[in-house]
Order: sequence, then C-alpha cells, then structure tokens
Amino acid sequence: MIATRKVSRRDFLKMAGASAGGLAAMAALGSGFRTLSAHEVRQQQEAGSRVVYTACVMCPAECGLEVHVENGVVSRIYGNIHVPYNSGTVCAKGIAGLQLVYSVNRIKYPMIRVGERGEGKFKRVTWEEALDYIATKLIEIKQKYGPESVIMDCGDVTDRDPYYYLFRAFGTPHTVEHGSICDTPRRHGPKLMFGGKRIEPDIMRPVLVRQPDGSLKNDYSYRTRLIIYVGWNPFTATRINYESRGTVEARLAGARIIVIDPAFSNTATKADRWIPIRPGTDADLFAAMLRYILENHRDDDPFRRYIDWSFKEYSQGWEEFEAAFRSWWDKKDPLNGLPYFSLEWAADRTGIDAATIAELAHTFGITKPAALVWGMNGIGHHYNGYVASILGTVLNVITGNMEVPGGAIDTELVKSSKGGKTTGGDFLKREVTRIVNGREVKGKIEELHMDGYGDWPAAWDDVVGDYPRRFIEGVTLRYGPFRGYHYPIKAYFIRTGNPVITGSNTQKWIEALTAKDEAGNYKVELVVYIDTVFLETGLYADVILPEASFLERMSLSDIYPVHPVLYLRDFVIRPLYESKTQYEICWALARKLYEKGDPDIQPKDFWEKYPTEEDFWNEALKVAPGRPNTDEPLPYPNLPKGYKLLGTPDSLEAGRVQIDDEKKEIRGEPLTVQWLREHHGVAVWPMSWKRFHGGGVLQTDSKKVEFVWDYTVEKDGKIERKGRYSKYNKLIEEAGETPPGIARLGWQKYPATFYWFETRWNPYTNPDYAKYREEYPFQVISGRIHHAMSGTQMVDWLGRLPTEDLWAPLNDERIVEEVIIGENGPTSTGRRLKIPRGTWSIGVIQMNRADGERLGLKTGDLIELETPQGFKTRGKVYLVETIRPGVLRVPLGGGGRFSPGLGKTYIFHDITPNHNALVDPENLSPIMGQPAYGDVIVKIRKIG
Amino acid sequence: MMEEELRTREGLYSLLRALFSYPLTDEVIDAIRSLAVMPDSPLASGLGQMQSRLQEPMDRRALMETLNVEMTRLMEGPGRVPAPPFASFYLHGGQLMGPAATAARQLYLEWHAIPETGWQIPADHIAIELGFLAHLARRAHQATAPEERARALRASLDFLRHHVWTWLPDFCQALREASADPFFTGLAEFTQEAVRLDLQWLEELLAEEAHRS
Ligand code: SF4
Repeated sequence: MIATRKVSRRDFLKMAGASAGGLAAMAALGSGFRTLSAHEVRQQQEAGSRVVYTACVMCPAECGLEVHVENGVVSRIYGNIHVPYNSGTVCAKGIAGLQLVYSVNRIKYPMIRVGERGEGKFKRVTWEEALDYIATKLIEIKQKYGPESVIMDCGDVTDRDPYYYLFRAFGTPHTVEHGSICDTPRRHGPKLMFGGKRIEPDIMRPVLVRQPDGSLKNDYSYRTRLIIYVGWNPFTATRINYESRGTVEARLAGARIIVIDPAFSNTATKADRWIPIRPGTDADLFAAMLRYILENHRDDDPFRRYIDWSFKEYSQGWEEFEAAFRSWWDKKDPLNGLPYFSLEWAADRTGIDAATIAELAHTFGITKPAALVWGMNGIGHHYNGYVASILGTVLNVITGNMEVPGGAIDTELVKSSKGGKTTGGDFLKREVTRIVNGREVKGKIEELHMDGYGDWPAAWDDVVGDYPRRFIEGVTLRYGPFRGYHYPIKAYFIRTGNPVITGSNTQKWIEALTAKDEAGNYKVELVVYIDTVFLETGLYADVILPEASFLERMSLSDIYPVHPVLYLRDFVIRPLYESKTQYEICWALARKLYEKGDPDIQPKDFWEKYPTEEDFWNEALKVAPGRPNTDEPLPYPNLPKGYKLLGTPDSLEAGRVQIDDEKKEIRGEPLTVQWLREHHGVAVWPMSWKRFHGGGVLQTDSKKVEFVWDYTVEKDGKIERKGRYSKYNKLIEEAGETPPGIARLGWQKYPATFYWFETRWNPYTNPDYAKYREEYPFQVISGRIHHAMSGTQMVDWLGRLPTEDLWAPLNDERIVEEVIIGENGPTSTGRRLKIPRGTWSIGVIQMNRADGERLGLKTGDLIELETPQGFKTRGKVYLVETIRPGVLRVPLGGGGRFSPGLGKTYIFHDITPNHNALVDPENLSPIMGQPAYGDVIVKIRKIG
Repeated sequence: MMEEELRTREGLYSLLRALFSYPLTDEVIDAIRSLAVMPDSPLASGLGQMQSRLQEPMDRRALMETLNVEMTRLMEGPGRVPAPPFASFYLHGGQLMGPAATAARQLYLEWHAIPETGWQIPADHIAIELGFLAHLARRAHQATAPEERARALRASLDFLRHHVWTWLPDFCQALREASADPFFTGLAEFTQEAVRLDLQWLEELLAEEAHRS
C-alpha cells in the first residue's frame, strides 16, 4: 500500500522547488496533443458517426452486416438485409463482434520474441523493426535455400489475396489456406466429377429470379422436399448461414429433414429423423444406398423410379463407373464375410439396421427434389472420406437432384468469381533454375510445390496437408522437372489460424516449431504470426504482427451462395493501435524486401500497380461474376446465352455492355468498391437452375459431369489424356514412382473410376485394426461448434453458454488467479476471481449414459482418453442420451487451450479435452495428405 | 510563484505521459535520473525506486532493453497483460472502448485537442489521459486572462476527479503487484502520488479562489 499523507499546497511547491526547475523543464517532453481548428473539430465529430455495410468474421460464415458507429466507437451490429446469404439475420456471436474488436486481449503492436519459442516472452517493436527483421531473414533464407523454403498459411478467412500475391511474387509456391488441413476429402467427389467443391441444398432464400414478364423478383419459396445431412451440422458449425434458417423454413414448407450423425446435433433437433451412425462408415452407407438404388430401380414403376436418366445428357463415363462399382458386389468383406455394399454388410458396419438403410435409399430415390449433403467433421475427417464424397456426389447426380430447383447445388461452381490477378497466380508461372543431382534444371515455380510435386501429386487447390512433418524432414520432390530436388522448410507464416490446436497433432506441431539443429538454432528459422487474437501458435512465433480486426479492414466475401452474390468488407473504423490491414502489411513488407534488394519484388507489381487498397480490391472485382449466362430462367435474356458475364448487375441489366464473340464474354461496367458502397455493400446477379446443361458452369475437361477421371480423346488426329486424375497419373508414369499415400493402398496410380478402400483406426471396418476392438472400445469424434472457436472463447459471456452437450457448465468451484504471460511463461497477476461450481461452460467429453453407467462413471468425472499410440487428453465426462454408444465426442479446438490470450476458457485448460492431442500425425489421408482427424480410438481411465 | 507551479505541473504531466509511452527512451530515463525531490516528499519513495534501478551497474543498452521488455509484458502484450493501461478495462468490466473512452474523446474535442496518435489508441489510454493533463496544464500556464487559466484548471480538476482518479489507483496497484522490477513498482507509486498531490492541490487552489470570489 502507498502511504497517503495529507499534504498542503506548500508541500507541492516544495517538491517543485526541490527539483530546481527540473520538473518544469520536462515540459519539453511534450503532451502528445495538438490543437485543432473549429472546422477540424466539426469534421472529427461528424466523422465519428456513420453506418457502414460490411462482412462479419466472428466465424467463417462471413455474414453481411450493417454496422453503426457513434463517436468513433462501433455501437450496434445488425445483419445486412440486402445480402441474401444471411438476409438481415445475425447471430449472437456476430453481434458480440465488437467485444473482439475492443477486447483487451487483442494483439495491438508488433512484437519480436526475446525468450525461447513457447515461453511467450516478447518485446514490442516498431513496424520498421519487425519488417526489417522479417525481410532480412526472408532474403537470407531465399539465398540459402530458395523461396520454396517459405510457407505462407493464410488461415481460414477468405480475404487473404494480398498474402497470396506477395508470397507468390516472392517466389514460393506454398501459399495455403486453412482448408488445406481441414476437410479436403469431403470436397473430392464434386472436384473430380464437376470441377467444383461443395454441394449444398438449394435453400438460400431469397434468390433473385427472372420472371416470365422479364422483371427480376426475390423468390422466397422453398421447393426442397428432402434434405439428408450426413455428419453435417449447419446449426452450430456455421459456415453457411442460410443453411440453418433455410432448413427450418424448408421444413415448415413441407421438406423432410434427416440427420445422420453419431451425435444428436442441434441440426438433428430440428429434423424429422436422427440416425446415429457408427463413425467412419459414411462411405459404407452411401455405397449401400447406391447399390440398393441400382438393384431396385424400375423405370416403369413410379414408386421405384429412383434414377433420372436425364443425367446422361450432361455426363460421361457412367457405364465404366457402374461396372467398377458392381464388380465389388460379389466380393466378400474379410471382416464380416458379407458381400460388399449389400444392406446386411452396411448394417453390420454402420450399426444402422438393414431395413432403415433400405428405407433411406428408397426415400432418397423417390423424393424429388432432394439433397444429400455431407460435412466436415464426418466425411471430411476420415481417411476414406474421398470414397464417401464420390459416392455422395454420384447419388445426387443419378437421382436427378443436381441443379434442379430445391435440389442440390455445387456452390463453388455458381458463386461469383473474385480475385483474378490479385491472387498472384501469374507469378507461379515464372521459370526458375535449380541444381538437381548436379544438373541444372529449369521449371516453373509451381513445380516446386512440396505436395503437388512431392508425396501428394493430387493435392490441388494449393493444399499443404503434410506439415508439420515437412518442417522436420524437409521436402524431396518426386515428380515433374525438379524430381529428386531436396529443400528444407525454413520459414512459416501463419495468419488467422492456429494449427498448434487445430491442425494435425498438437505435440507434433510443437515439436516441429521448436526443433533445433546441432548448433542450437531453430530448424524453422523464421515463424511469423499475424492475427488480431493471440492464440497458441503465436507462443511459438519469432515475430508477431497485429492484423486489423474484421471491422477495420477491406476485402470481399461470398461464402457458398447458390448464385453469384458478392459483398464488401469495408472499413467501419480505422485500424486500432498499430494494427494494419492485409494490404498494408503486405505492401510494407514488399517495400522492405525491395529496399533490401529482393529482385522478385518490383514496384511495378505493387505500389505502382495498386497504389491504394481500393485499387487492389477493384482488381479483384474485375472478374466478377465470371459465370456463364445460363440456364433456366436465363439470367439476362437480353444477352447471349452461354457467354461469360462480367460487370455490375445494373449495367448487365440495362445492356450497357460490350460483347466479345471470340472470347464469348459479355463485359458490362466493371464492379468496383465504390459501386458496392453505393449499393448497400452487395452485388447480386440473378439465379438460374439446370446450369450443368450444355456445359454450363461445369469445370471439367469434357464440360460434362465425369464419372471417369483418366481417359483419352482424339483431337485433330492426336490422342489426348483428359480427366482430373490424368495430369497426376502422367506425372507418376513419367517418374515411374507411385506416391507413398496411394502405394499403401496397393495402387500404382490414381484409379480411372470408382475405387474403394477402408478408413484407418476403425476396428469395425478395417481388419488391420480389429485387434483393438476390446482394449480401445471407444471411437472419438469431434464437433465443430461456435463455442469451440477462438472468437467465441474470447467473449467470456458467450463462451459460457452451454451448447450441444459438448460445452456444458461442468466446472468445479474455483478461485482462479488471472494468468498472463510472465517472465518465465504463464504467471499469475494476483487478481482473483471466484467461479462458482456449475456456472461456467467448458468443453466436455460427451458419452452415452449407458456406457458411462456400465463403467461406473457419472457426469462431471474427470477421465483420461488414451490412444493405442499413447496419445492422451483429459476432460470431464458428460453422460447423455444424445450420442451413440461406443462413441465419444469432444469439441474441436475447444479444450486444452493453453494461450492466456483467450478468455476464461484458459482457466480450465487442465480439465478440458484437446481433440488434436489424440490425432495420429502419420494418419494422412491417402489422396491429398490431410490428417484424418476423425479416425481415433481410445480407452478411458477415470482420474478424478 | 503561481507561474512556477503551473510550469511544474506541465512538466510533471509531460514526464508522466512519456513514462507510459512505449518505448522508454534515453530522454525520459535521463529525466528520471536528474530529478530530485526532498526526502520527505510523497514522491520520494517511488522516484527512489526508479532511480535505484537506473543506478544498477548495467550497460545502458542492456538496461533499456530489459526495461522495455518488462514494459511490454506489463502493458503492451501480446494478448493478456497484467496491467492494461486503459480506463475502460477497470471501469467497464474488462472491455476496452467503453464510455470512459468515448467521454475522454469528446472532452478532448471540446478543448479542440486531439492526440498526435489520432484515435487509433483509445482515448482513455493512461499516456493519453496524462498527456491531456499536460495539455491543459500548458493552457493554464500560457493563459493570458485569469478566467482562461481558471477554466483550464477547473477542467483539469474535473478530468482528474471524474476520469483519471476513478481508475488510476487500480491500474497502479495492478502494475505494482505484477512487477518485481523497482523501476515499475516505483513508477506506479510515483504516478499515483503525483496525481494525488495535484488533485489535492487543485482542489485547494480552486476552493481558495472560489472562496475569494
Ligand atoms: S454466423 Fe458467423 S459470420 Fe454470421 S453473424 Fe454469426 S458469427 Fe458472424
């Protein structure tokens, strides 16, 4: 305590006198204030209040927002009614966005590490110092190892173009996004067959539709009659806002909703039926449904006319696919002795009885329009998710549900194009030389890709699924011109992501980021963390850069709408503290690299080309909407059908266009940031259906839906290889070497059509793991929920709300001390906080009540989960009826969070489960190398 | 006499502002080194702690580095810090940019003043509030008319009472408790005492003047 003595005025003077004018002289240090004119004051006051249309990023759904600012402070957040994607709605977390923007815990200034990685000891520095440090190191690494030794991971937000642009210009092919390590298997079917990515039900409403009288009207009608969600929980795993409200509306309008999920999810609560499937058997279910449909379809029986043969008009290769699929029917499964894909076989594996599977297949076959939709935490996270994704896509196609009103839509193919030159794709085509086995070899930058030309040639979309292993082992290229070339990974940039908790195995990440060489230097020489919030990965960074929060930066959003819709993320307030926007960070780093003589960074590509942030995003808008004017009802009947549309909706509508017959392009007035600002922040082009007809929006070689992925065609007397897998197979054939991922499956190259393989760590379907059945009786799955995301955990009062039996008030009474990063790691501040028992929701382990009672467990007991490999995590068990027996579910990213940068979740990190602590880091799914997060089995032990 | 007091106040707040503005510079360290107060001054203890730290036999660069690393940990980040230097944190349940920041911004504009850092740093940051007091002290010091001076002094008292003193003791306590470095424990004590002294001085002065008029 400070002694507070009463002093008189004389004391104060004495103090002043005693300093012999010393204090008075210190006025020279300045007040840090300047004076404004009356006019300037008025300007300041007026500028402090406004309404801005922008896009949320409290979760990856990126809903359109209308944000109010008063006195320079964000005061209210509403949904933007003009963005059909969320149509004026906003969730509790979105409204809480300003608690993140104004969180005391956000990263405010650039920092450089002063302790060891992981200790969290940093020094605040200027941007100049931070950028100088990074640029010096980057140039050193480039000179010593080549730019390919640098990885830029741009995280899970769509506004990453400046990072792609800069790092591709720098010369690395490794610019990636979170999707690379998240859910690639689930996208595989649409990618192979359509060139797309993401099948969703046609329930975004309103949709802007051309009417018979030529006018455009918002259509609010729901035509869907059936949606089957498999391992997909849009009500809490928000990525697609319209899917939660749309599902409820569609059901009110008569649709049937079936949820197939080991757990009774929030989506299941609104469904007509919940079918608790055994984890990792989605492919089994889909295969049985397809076999049932093929065996029982009757053209002449309206009650069994499952297949809509019109799909053949816009597809090719069905016969080959069907033959390959049928070829399995006579084979017997070595584990259960039953014929593959039969109802009994699937019943044994999925745990769903044969009659239910038959009913499901029948219902899906007979109910039209319908959509079969699958998700991340199921199919996206299993070793054989690729197979399920292909079968699911086939089921949607042959039943005639793709692209019909109320059916299924591959949203990747119909959303607006954006980015264009701002993605920096052109830089990857530059030619570079490397010495390979003593020989000088020339090739393109993209041919140095660690996965695409390394172990995972089918790793398209810039996937880098195979880190952190590469950080430790380095990269040896197997394919393409640089075959045999070896290089290490020396720099890792992570922006708005947290792979230590949400990518592969946590311990493996820590090992990779802290590994040292014999000289005691970190093997990965540079780790840079760029974000607004300080998460676990930041603890291992050398440099921390504060990125502007989502209300302080500019970019574009469009998360899987069913027709082209593009909206602006705009500056609501100026970036707080010393945070900078993505453009500012990249341009400042580019300048630094240029000053230091990096020959790849040239003013003509950066500040001369895009001198302002708006210029950059205007470039990204030039390619919008970039989709063909097709099909029913034709979006612009006044314009040529099939031509690519470019430009603002109003110019296209009014016919203020140039038509290029050679390129088959219709160019209206280019869409700009200014145009968006003048139109409530959003551009909406008309909806149409049947867009696969005549090639339409399909992105395959044949412009048809492809059931065969490596085929030949004759063109001008020449035989050409086509199909999505052909490129990779050609690489394999040239090199004469099979990628290790598929070699494990006994393949030599990628199969031309239907294939089958089992998932791993599943004792019920894969004979290799059957021996673990008794000792490791539980399968562990994860649930992605709002509450497990860092943004929610930053907002204490949101994070403490219970949800989905995954996040429950199971805390003990704790008098907790607030902990911050101290000199020697986490340290108490001395501030104490009492959290009464049962008042704070935390990540828990969801377990079926019967299982728990059999094991003598009760809700709230602390248990430890252990895998056969000895990976462990712990948490409180929550006994409920809402999960299938034999299955445990934990929130992904929701526990074991050891960064004090989070909210109070941190306090409970010792009793909350970290799913990724259990993930087998070697279980990389065979086609693209992404970790199979969902293939986990454990035994349990009560520890408290 | 009054003239000297007013100059001293301006110097005091300028020094305090500089002490809470990252990074600590040679200039501000030299200022602390050169400062002298009577042994019985309420400022003596805090100042003594800071000066004892600065007298440790340590290379100047190493010392500055250590102090700035500690200051980073205490107030700058990354993530959660033990002594967040913002009024809103202490007054509005741990969030920043609460009513305290808005009110401070409005007040600065009323005085036609704006922080040189613009509004990027919330207006209720300790260094900005102390800087505003330095600004008002200068206005009082440079005032040509007595009413003008009285207005600036009254504004200082109001700002101290309703803004600064409502949270400064909590902040200083957090700082003292979180650091073992005498520079920062001393800084906490020095700041709290200096502001308390000035508050008291202003109260007495303005009460006297009110009495006289
Ligand atoms: S769903 Fe996600 S993006 Fe939409 S308002 Fe909520 S938090 Fe924001």
